[in-house]
Amino acid sequence: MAAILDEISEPWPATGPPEKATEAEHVATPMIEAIEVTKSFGDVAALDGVNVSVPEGSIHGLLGHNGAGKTTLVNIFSTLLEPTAGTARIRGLDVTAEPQKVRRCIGLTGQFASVDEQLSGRDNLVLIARLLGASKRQARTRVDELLELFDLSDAAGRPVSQYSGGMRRRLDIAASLVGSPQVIFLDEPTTGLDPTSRLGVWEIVKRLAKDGVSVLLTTQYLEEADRLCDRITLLSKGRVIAEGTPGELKADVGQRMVTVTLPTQTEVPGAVKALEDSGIRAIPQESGTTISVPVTASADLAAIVRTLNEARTEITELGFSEPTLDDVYLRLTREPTGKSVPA
Amino acid sequence: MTVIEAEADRRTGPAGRGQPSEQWGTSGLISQTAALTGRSIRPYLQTGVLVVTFVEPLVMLLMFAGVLKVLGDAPGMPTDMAYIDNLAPAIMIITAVAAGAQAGNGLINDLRNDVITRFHTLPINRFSVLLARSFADGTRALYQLIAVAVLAALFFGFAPPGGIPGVVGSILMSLLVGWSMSWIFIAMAAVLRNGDVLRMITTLMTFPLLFASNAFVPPESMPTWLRVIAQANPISYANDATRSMVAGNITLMELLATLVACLALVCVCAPIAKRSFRVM
Repeated sequence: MAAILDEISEPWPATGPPEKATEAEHVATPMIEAIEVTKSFGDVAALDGVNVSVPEGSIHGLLGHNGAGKTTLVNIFSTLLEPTAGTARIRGLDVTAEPQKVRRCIGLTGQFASVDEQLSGRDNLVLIARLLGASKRQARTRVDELLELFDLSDAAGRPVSQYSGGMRRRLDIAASLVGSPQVIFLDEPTTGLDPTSRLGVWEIVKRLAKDGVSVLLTTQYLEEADRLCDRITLLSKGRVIAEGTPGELKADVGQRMVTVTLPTQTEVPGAVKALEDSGIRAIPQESGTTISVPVTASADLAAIVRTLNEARTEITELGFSEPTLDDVYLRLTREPTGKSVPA
Repeated sequence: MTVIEAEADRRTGPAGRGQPSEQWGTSGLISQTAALTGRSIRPYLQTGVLVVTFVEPLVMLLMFAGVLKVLGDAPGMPTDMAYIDNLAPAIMIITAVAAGAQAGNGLINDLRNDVITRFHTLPINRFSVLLARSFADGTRALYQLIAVAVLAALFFGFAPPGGIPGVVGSILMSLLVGWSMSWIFIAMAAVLRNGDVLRMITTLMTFPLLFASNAFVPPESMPTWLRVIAQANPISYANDATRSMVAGNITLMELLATLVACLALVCVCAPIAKRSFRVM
């Protein structure tokens, strides 16, 4: 019995905010950090030497297909799984060595709503506040605040089983914020939500980061990573295949394109010739009336228009396309077509 | 623009600097267990579940008191007690043990629910989740035990020599036995983590445990092999203890033996349950 009772929680939290660090130190200690983290389930390596570093107040995206290892990494950070090798730290605290301290600074919103269906929304939040040591009054104050913030005040008394998907997700995120954690993990926070609810969740995430919370979110949606994340780690089969800002990742793959649409298909060869004669590479699209032109500077755009004007070619539409994260994602995660023999 | 977005513009966020939780106190095993027990009991308070909770002991009383009344004259049956005075304490034990066996299923259901995953990411003592589970099922057992006593007194003439103190003592003792036994099932659930297997084992265990005992007929009337089992069955000893309790003649030895046996069971099973309890 003694072994059971000695695990009684230490006071929550020990004392006030983290010891005041100088600016330099502050920058030096990442809020979320994985160093060569590996996790094997039997023979299967779910994670293979993954490195991630998230500074304070930033939104970091883990992007990848199902089975890429995103959830496994989140589970390691949130003390649910122990890494097979490597180190995972939250605010400098090792998740394996000091899980209870780590739990004091994190909030997890898992892939599936972790709220109690049979309790009301309010009771779900009150339960967590009470577990974290809030008095009845403190719990009520905090819960009312969260309910209002997440637009759940009206539904607060209803059992969660009657909530819509979006409401459930909002309650779920609210539940992970009860203890005001400095680090939040959101595992596919918008999967299965309608567009309006998705926008709502995005706003929540942005606001969290603005308040200084460090957010690690997993997603399969490129648009989501692009719109929300300061940096993105691309995972495929447990390995990091790319890391950077959305802009950097896009710049990696490729160039911006100008697409020129002509009135008829018969004008395409002439227009291509005119462009190539002035030293501009033009790629006629296989079908239709469109020509793609890779560009690097905006002056190129003027040159295209001038050349076509001089060739007396009418332009019906002129478009400018940035490379999308889709391009990055597809290029990097594409299966090699041939059989490759490992060196 | 949703309310959330509008709110975003003028309010400080839900987390951030002025952290409200920093003024919060300490939560220990006791307060955590109390909060979690409340949560686990909640499902038992739904009308439908409550009806079943109270119908169960009624059916058991009707069945056994009615069908087995003829056995009141069976050889070896104490002649100085009405059959109901002999049966009701045994039904109390059966009721408490059956409710305790449910704790395993309760834990499996919990494991399937992602709320437990969240609990594992909170800075709480994880043992509180298991304690809460056992107390919730213990509470349900308490409702049923009171129902057994009241129904037996109202409809079957249950008025044992030990009077109300004896009946209350018998309820408390059944509660202790059922709660202690619930740790067997909680430990099995934590180790097996598989509801189907657990249910099979639970049925396999509870049937012989409850019926190959002295609950309904005296072991003296059983074939030898069954009598040996029934006499060794711990449930028989529990039945004896509650019977002595309602008869008002329980000895200190009997009381202590029951307490020690229950405590020993918990001391073996609870650490196993605690060690094996994880969400993934």
